[in-house]
Amino acid sequence: MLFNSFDFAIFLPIVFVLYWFVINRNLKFQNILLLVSSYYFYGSWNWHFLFLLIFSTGLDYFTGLKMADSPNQKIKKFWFWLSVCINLGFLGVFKYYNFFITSFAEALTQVGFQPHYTTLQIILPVGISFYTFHGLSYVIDIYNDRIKPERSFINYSVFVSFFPLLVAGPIERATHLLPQIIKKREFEYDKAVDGLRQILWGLFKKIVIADNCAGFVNQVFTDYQNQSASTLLLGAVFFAFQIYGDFSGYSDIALGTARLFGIELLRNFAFPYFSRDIAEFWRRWHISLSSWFRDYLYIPLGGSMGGVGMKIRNTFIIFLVSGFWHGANWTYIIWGAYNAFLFLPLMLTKKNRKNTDTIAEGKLFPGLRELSEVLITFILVVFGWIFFRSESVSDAFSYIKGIFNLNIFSMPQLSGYYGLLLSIIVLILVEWFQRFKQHGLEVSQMKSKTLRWVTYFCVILLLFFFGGKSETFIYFQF
Amino acid sequence: MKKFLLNVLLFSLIFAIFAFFIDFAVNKGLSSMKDYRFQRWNEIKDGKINADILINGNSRAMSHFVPSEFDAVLNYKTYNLGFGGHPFNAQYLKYGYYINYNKKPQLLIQNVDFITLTDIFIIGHEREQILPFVYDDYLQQHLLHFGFSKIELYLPLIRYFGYQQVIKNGMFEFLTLKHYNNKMAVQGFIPEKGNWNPTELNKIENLEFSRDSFTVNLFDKYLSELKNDNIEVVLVNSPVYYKATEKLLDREVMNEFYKKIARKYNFTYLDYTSDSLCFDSTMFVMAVHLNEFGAKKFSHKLAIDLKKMELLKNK
Repeated sequence: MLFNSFDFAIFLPIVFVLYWFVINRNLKFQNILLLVSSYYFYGSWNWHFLFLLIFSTGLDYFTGLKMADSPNQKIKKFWFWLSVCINLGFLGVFKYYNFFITSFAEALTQVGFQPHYTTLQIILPVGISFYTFHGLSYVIDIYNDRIKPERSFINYSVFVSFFPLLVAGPIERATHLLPQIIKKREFEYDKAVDGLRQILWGLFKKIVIADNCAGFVNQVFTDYQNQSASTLLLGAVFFAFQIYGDFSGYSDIALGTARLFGIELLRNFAFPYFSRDIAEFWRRWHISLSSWFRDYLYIPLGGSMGGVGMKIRNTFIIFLVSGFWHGANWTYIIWGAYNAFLFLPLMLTKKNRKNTDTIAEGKLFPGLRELSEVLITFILVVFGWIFFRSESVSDAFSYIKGIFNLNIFSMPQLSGYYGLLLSIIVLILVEWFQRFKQHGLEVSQMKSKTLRWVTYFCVILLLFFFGGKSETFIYFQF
Repeated sequence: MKKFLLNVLLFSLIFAIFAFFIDFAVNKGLSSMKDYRFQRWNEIKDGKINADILINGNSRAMSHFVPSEFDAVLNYKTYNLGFGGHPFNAQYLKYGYYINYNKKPQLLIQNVDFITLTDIFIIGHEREQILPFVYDDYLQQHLLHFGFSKIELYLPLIRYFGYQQVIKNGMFEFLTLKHYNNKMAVQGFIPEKGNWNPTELNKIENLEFSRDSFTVNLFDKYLSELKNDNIEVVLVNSPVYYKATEKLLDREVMNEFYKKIARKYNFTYLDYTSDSLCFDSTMFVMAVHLNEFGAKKFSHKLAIDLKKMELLKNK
């Protein structure tokens, strides 16, 4: 069930009404409802994978309890590694088996062997990377004595499977989400209204921006050999907006939906394309994943402590793993390495935390310097996205080579996409003026109710009049 | 909590009213637009076609059978109902829609081929053509089986979601801000313009006579209904470029199937896939589609053959 489907438009109000009007007095029933709804939501894709989800949930729940009850460190360690290995094992089989086997065989072929190997016809279970990371963070936190295990299987299952975040995040932490699940929740009018606004803004980004960009981007990336340099550049820029609209749109819908149930999820995007350097970009893009890697990989490796060599090693590890997390393809690994190269100079010169505030604070528009920094960062990010989007590394390099051509100054093939260009301008303007807020449609400061409602009407009409053909969310494949 | 629910309901109600008016405007606009996609459904609904000879089938019917050629040779009123991009189940839907508003024909020419009985159960190709007409009782009853949800069929505007150009065109036409003048059909016929292009043929490796059991049963039921209605039927396999026919793996099975089912109802099956037209690429735009010139030649030939067969009552 997609967030931008009519099935979800029916599903959500039903669960909402049951949750607040039928079983609102009983927290346990509310959590059971959330769990059943989440399993229904997940099962509507492929119910077979529900068993995998339930198994993964059960494994982490059980090992969490076992670790807490361990009489000594050795046994605790055993349960910890059992959970980590099985979790990563599932991820490895479903997501990376074919990649490893073909890469290994290709490497052998290079040195003169002719290996015989079999790839598996594997369907990637939706959201496996996300819920595996939920579970991993939970067992790591218990192992490090940061949290106590959750004794209620229902509560723990809701933490892993809560439907707004189940298939594409944000990647939650037990320290943040579990206390909210355990605690009695009260309906808050303002929170619920803002949740709806955030859902609406997410739909705008998904349906108007991402789905429309998809048409142009698919066309350009599929047939990049026959496109002018300017069209290729525009294709890459549109992909930057497609992936932003798609993923941040999804996150907005997820966060907004969770708020309808009185639950606050971790923020995942903070207007990343207004970043002034790559370090700031990574603090604003897919925040829940970046911070996950920071807390569970980068810091345990030593972080930015130690010598230059260690800093370089750790930076590369975190970016390469992050790239690999996205998928079993060398394009993602190169994308990770590319970002590591961009990030390293900032870290080595200790400028990676130069821009921790929001751009142009107290000003309406950015200064020339800030604007140029934003544009340079954006262009660097766009070139990275070319690797992310291309089918293969060689395609990505050919695509980039195609951009560096004299016909970069020609008019791109934009026929039929002027509406999209206008929509992107609207997105940039709205988000610029809302950059201190949580999302683009946080208009609670508007005094006039009529004006607020007119704003909502306008956004809904934009969905109908400028909405593209429905596409699935990009991050579902991860 | 109640305040929240009341506000949401009030907002939804206002939006529903608003959506109803937009839906009405878009439907009206599209219905009056000069565009073959909407024109043909409109013509049927107007109930003024009442053809003596009706042509049914897929895109090959739509662009191969020139009604004016049949009119001239047979002196009967002809209309082409061909439903481009859709196999028989959707053609059956369109035929039902036709006879809901028009008198039954005397003769029905049903184009059949290797793809007619395949298992596609959605109206996908040029889906927008049907959107302004979904409130029609007949269509509303049947479209649920063709990939439309109840929400799309009963709630305003929802079905136009993702059809931004169509909504805009409909609104502009309704508000008379712009009048569109796109390709129009003549008696339902839509010619294929252009010259022979072998690209598609080169891409084809093999073709297969595709049959889905549900569609086959429906086809059988359709022929039986036509028989009961005393409508004469000719199944016609219209020309295919010979190199494409060579790629059809089970041509004999297909011909045998159509011959047999025609015989069952005492109807006629005519196979033109070996006709001399099939060896001349200048008659085609692509492997399975005749161009306008080829369509006229073929229609004239078929009309003469039908005349010889004396299937129609003399006027």
